[in-house]
Amino acid sequence: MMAGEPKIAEKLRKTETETVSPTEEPKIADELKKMGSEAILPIEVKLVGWSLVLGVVLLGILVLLSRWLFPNP
Amino acid sequence: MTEKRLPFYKSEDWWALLLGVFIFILALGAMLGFDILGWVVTPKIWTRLPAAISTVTKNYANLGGFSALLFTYLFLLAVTTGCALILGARIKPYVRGFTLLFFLTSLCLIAGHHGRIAASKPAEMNEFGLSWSLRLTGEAGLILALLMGLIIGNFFPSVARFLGTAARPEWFIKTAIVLLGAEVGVKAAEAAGLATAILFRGFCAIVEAYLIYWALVYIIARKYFGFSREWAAPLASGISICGVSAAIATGSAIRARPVVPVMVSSLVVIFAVIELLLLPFVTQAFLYKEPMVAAAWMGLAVKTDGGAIASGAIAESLIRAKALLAQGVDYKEGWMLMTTTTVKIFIDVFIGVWAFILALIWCGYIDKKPGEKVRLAEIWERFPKFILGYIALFAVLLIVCLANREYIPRAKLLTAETGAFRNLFFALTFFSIGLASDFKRLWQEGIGRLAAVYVLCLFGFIIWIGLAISWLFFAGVRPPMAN
Repeated sequence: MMAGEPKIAEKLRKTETETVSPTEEPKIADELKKMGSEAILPIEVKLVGWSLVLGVVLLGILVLLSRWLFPNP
Repeated sequence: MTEKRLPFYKSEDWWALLLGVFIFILALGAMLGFDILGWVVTPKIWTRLPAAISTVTKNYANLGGFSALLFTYLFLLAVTTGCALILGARIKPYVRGFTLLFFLTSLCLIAGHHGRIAASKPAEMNEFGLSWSLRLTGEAGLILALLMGLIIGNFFPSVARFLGTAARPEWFIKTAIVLLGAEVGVKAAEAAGLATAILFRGFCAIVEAYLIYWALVYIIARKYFGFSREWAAPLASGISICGVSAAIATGSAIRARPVVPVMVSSLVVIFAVIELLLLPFVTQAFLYKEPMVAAAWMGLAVKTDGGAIASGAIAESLIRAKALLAQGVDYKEGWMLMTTTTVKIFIDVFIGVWAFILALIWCGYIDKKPGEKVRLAEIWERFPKFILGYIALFAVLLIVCLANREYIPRAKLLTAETGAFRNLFFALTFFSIGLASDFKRLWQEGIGRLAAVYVLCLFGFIIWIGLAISWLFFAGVRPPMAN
């Protein structure tokens, strides 16, 4: 601990007691336990699939476009 | 999609914009012939303490470095306290916190500029009579600020709470980004072709990042880790897009409970710090011959605004020093940081669009509720407003300097002043990021599964796909030479 640390801690004790106690905060473990299992819906598969396909196709197009518009010296 | 929104004056985005524009307007004086902000403090490489800081312009040189530090503190205290009060901070804790934060951060900046740490050029070594130096450049001060923040945040919780009201990393970095717009505008005018290429390539990189990153993280979280949609979507946005703001925007778009993005965000911040401490040094070791690839990579891989821009700044200083030493190449300062910022800003701009798309899908197909519609205004509401400030400052200086190139030297006087403030806001961001990174959360019960997805996705493919995309779009692109 730094030399001034106890003094600062003492000074701030009142402020600290005003903050929310950690036990009142939601715990990740509890929140995750509440989570039920959900089957993957067709719309999720579509979202992921279209994103990836579009991403890969655009990758090719944009790389070509950037090299055509801004060729490296 | 009818949740209650805060009024604009309670948004850090707007105050970052206004603060940045206010400083820019004052700095305009330097360009127009009456120097208003020349007294701002700036650190110098030093071996004797009195020479460690000075005023940013010679017009106020008689003031001396320590008076400049005091005036800069008083100015920033006044303007930020005004904003913080409107944002809801209490005045006494803010003033006390900001005072300690400012002087500790300044101490780190000064220490980081010591010749043994920062001197990187032969001329600097000769000037200070040094036989060796760590050659980290002055940006080492930012690393010190981060480390000091981390130490205080993790080992001195009372001091961290004392500083907590004033430590606002997102606000500080957004203000810094607004100010950076002015510097980028002048640089773009100096080399318009290169700047346009960076803007276009940055945009391309982002399209890829959104489409590929998000989809992969989402399906991995859902299929292999069994997360529900409520957890998987904010997690995918947090890990793959832009950390905290993306997790919150996504959580709101799909109507997740507030606790979900908050918990995801706490992980995002911690891992951004780990990346910030690691990746710039990786770029120095392996990417010093491809500086723009490294810069874009920092924007794509590091998942908070502050973390990404900070990584870009450190990577730039490390790579410039290494390139000078290993290749004898002296790259012009600022171009790598501009690239990281461009990539990150495009990411931020698209958060609103992506949240809108997710809201449409969740509303229309997943949580179907009769009569519920997604408003187009959602895109604007989620748009990060501080970016308007960046664009405005960039556009003003670009247009003025392109209209008459003789204005460029005067514009550089202006950006020296905005740059001094930008650097201070960077340093305050570094310190605040460290302060807010509570590594004890990693040991919290139940976080293992969440952290496992994060580690697997981030280190398993996100940083590598980011590197590949950066390479595809930026390989062979070089910053201009310093001379």
